[in-house]
Amino acid sequence: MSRSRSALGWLLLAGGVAVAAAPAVARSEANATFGSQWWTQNRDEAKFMEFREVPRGGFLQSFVVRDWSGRNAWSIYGTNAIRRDQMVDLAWNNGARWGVNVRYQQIPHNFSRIARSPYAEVAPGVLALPDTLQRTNQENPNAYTNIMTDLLASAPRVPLEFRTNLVRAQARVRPARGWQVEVTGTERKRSGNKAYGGAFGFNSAIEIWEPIDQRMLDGAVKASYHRDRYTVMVDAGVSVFDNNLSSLRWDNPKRLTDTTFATAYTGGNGSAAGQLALYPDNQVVRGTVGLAVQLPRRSALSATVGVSQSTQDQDLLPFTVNTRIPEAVSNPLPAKSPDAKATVLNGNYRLTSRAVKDLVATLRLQHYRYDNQTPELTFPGHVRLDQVWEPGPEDTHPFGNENLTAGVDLDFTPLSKVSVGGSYERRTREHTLREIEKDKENVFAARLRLLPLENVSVEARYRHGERELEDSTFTEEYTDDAGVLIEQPGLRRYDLADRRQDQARATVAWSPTDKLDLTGYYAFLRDDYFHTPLGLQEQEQHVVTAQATLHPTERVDLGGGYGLGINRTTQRSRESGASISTNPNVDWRAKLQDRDDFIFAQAGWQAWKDKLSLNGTYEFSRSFGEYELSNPAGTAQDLPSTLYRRHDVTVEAVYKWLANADLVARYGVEDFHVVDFASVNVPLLNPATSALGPANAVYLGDGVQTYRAHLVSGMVRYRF
Amino acid sequence: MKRSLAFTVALLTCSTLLLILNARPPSSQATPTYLGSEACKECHQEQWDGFLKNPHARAEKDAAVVAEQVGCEGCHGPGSAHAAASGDRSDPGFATIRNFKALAPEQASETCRGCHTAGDQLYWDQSPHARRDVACTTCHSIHHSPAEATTRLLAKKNVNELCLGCHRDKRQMLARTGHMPLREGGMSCVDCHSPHGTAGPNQVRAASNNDLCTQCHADKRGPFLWEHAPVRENCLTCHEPHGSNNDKVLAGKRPFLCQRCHIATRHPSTLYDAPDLVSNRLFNRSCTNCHTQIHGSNHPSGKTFLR
Repeated sequence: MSRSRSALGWLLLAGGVAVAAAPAVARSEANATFGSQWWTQNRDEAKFMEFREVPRGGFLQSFVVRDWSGRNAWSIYGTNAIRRDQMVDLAWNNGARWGVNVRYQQIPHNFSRIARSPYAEVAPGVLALPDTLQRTNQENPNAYTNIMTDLLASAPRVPLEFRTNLVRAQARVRPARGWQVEVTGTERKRSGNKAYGGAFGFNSAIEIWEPIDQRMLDGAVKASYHRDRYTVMVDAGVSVFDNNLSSLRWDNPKRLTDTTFATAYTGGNGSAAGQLALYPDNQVVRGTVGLAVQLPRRSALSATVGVSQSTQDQDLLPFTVNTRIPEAVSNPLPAKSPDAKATVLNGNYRLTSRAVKDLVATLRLQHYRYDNQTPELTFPGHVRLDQVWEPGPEDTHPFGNENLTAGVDLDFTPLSKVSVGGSYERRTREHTLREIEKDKENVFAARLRLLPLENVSVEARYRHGERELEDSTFTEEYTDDAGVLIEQPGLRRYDLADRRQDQARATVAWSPTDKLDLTGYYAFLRDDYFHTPLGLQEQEQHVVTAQATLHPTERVDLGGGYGLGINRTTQRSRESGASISTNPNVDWRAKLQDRDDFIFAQAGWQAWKDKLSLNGTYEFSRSFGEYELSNPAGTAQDLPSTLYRRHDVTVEAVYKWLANADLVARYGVEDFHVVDFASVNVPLLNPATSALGPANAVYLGDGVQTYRAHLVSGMVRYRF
Repeated sequence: MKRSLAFTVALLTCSTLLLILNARPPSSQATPTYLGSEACKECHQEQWDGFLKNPHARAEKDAAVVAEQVGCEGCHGPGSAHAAASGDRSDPGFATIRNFKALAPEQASETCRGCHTAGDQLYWDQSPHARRDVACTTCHSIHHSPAEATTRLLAKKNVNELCLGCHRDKRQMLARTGHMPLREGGMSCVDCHSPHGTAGPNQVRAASNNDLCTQCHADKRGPFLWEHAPVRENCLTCHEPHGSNNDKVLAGKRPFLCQRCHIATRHPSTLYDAPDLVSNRLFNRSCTNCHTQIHGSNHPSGKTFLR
């Protein structure tokens, strides 16, 4: 925080000095909005400040300092100064020849302030439990539930939040007519904690947190040259991701010393600790060349070819940290590191012509190939959950893919008030090492725009696509070497499956008077996976919105809208145990519906002309989830419905106190209500009493909570 | 590949044909002459004051690197006949300057494109916005931009407000419980999309959705030792970036989202049988309580993304 305060201080000081020292002919302006705020929240729920910091006490909401004189112009603009969500932007331009822009921004992401955990981070990436606890649980496994219940009740809070600090510097130079060179450098640092899973057993989900300490550096140079009808652009860049924590190690609450036995992966009581690999360091180098040509007859061609290469060569961790698994010691790793490498080759070519009067025609071709060149490694086996050795061999699969989209678009305006259009697109995709190697899709689209009356516009679109697999390897992928099923033969994964897709959209805008605007919008999407016996079978979405703005008098502005969204999916699955069942009597089906409603309204009234104005905004959003389940035996029961609801009201009075100063009084209330079986009141220790076993799961208890927050603030907007 | 080659050849052939058919030069007539911006100031003081603050005024100092003609007449055309009309709208000379409100979208944009050709503007002609009659002046206001401290001269206070004016369904999506920090000002639409056009799908600022997402989420970039196939192909298979009612902007609630594809052995997939709903696979992050490395694992024992 001190670093950012200091940076801001220097920026403001520089701004102040520059304004003061500016010559008389200089033009400058500055303004700032500052004040004091009080707020209260009845529950300590992080959602209220998920991506922001709501300040208490004095605060500087925004400021701008601008100066322009002769060739030079500069500005400093900032919001939420000295807070965890602050942004400061500095721009300096010298004529049209060059300009520099530097931005510093912080983006918080708060997940939970009520999470608890008995773990302590004793070193970066190492979460430890007291040895006494592990020893007691190891020696008295039957007392585990009671011991953990007591321990978790008094476990300290763990803040689940991280913050991204972003610094971006950009310089733009125009050295000569037609030339422009842009150099950009970005540093993105992320630090904090995020909830993570660290299971030890099939029935022993343990929640821990991922300590985050990551840095991303990006650099890019883009040069373009324009002359007459041609523009050439060359873009090159490098991106480096550096994770200061390559692994996460955490203690097992059930054991102090390592052991292994055949069913340890169920009980999670084999190893003293677990270890997982965090996101590996990686690098990308890329380059793009683009060309645009203005052709005769109002036509234009653009062609872009890009290539990039990603590499990742982080050293592999051992099979396990469990020292009592002999196979993990005797079997060497097949490689020291993955030596992972992928090359992307992409091209985009478009020809647009307006050669024929009232007709815009576009031919386009887009090609994208992700060629994963990572060597395929064969592992002799793996250690499941740091508990037991599972013999292999197991091959890695460096998945790759290739997409080719070719299309034609025609937009015709036969009359000034009528425009029609159509498109045809053919997509082919290839998927390396997946069960469907190739698929193709034909897409047809139609568009219509009408201006039936001077103040009415209508726009409608429809799109239909049919995707079909061309080459598949189901038999090979869904069975093992002995021909035994390892996957349900009827499963079709929805990102590859045959699909019939229909999309429609319509917008109507009407301005009955110059004071009133009305808009209606409807969108429909249906994905029908018509050859899918098992898996996602269909999805249907509807979105309806209506908006209005009204200016009944010069002093009054009103606006508002309503939106409704419905998302329905149907999926079918088949219950299986250790081996694949082909019995349809154990199928089950889930019909899910998510409905969301959204209302917004805003009103502005200049109660006392040029002196006092009153503004208000209201937002309401509600999502309602329904989970309907069925099976032939009739034993399936629906899951409880879920509800997320938010009201957000803000009213504001602005009084013009002086010619250059406004006083602002603001009141806001936010009401958030949640009903969700999966994330409300999640127990710290899962009290499972079903056939799944005893209470083993240790959670962070970071569930979402219902809350209400009130906020009152007084501010001054001062123009210097 | 053969098809793509054929398509490319066809594309280049069409281009060449169009090049051969040279356009006729525009017919000339008695043309007004340039007076200089100072002449405009006399009647258009308000516009002049606003103009001085924006980058176009500074461009006047560097005409050598920008354009043949800069200043007011750089955009509005030579003003001598307009000035001579002295505000008389019935004078034919009055309408000789370029009035952007009266121009067709394509013509308005063509004026701006006289100088703005670098960067993403390379793709403007082919962009969906241009093809559907969105003009530069639909989104940018040269003289009356309400945006604070920005050089973009937006026609609205900020980027998101501008985009949501037309993309109405997105306003509703951004209001959902799971969303990225657009509402809070931590991001804007143009962080991911370029309204001027790009070489990628849906005007994203990368060659693919994945290339775009991993520009910020570089930790998920890989390539990993153990890959999760749909992750490698398209982030949007599982995520809805404009907002969803699920944690992590997921396109469905877990475990159902995972069970759209994973219905195989070892896991009792019917977590919902009577008499109770208690299962550690249903709470919190559900499947990812254990399969935490779902974006890919670099651990020798990470085949099922547990480590």
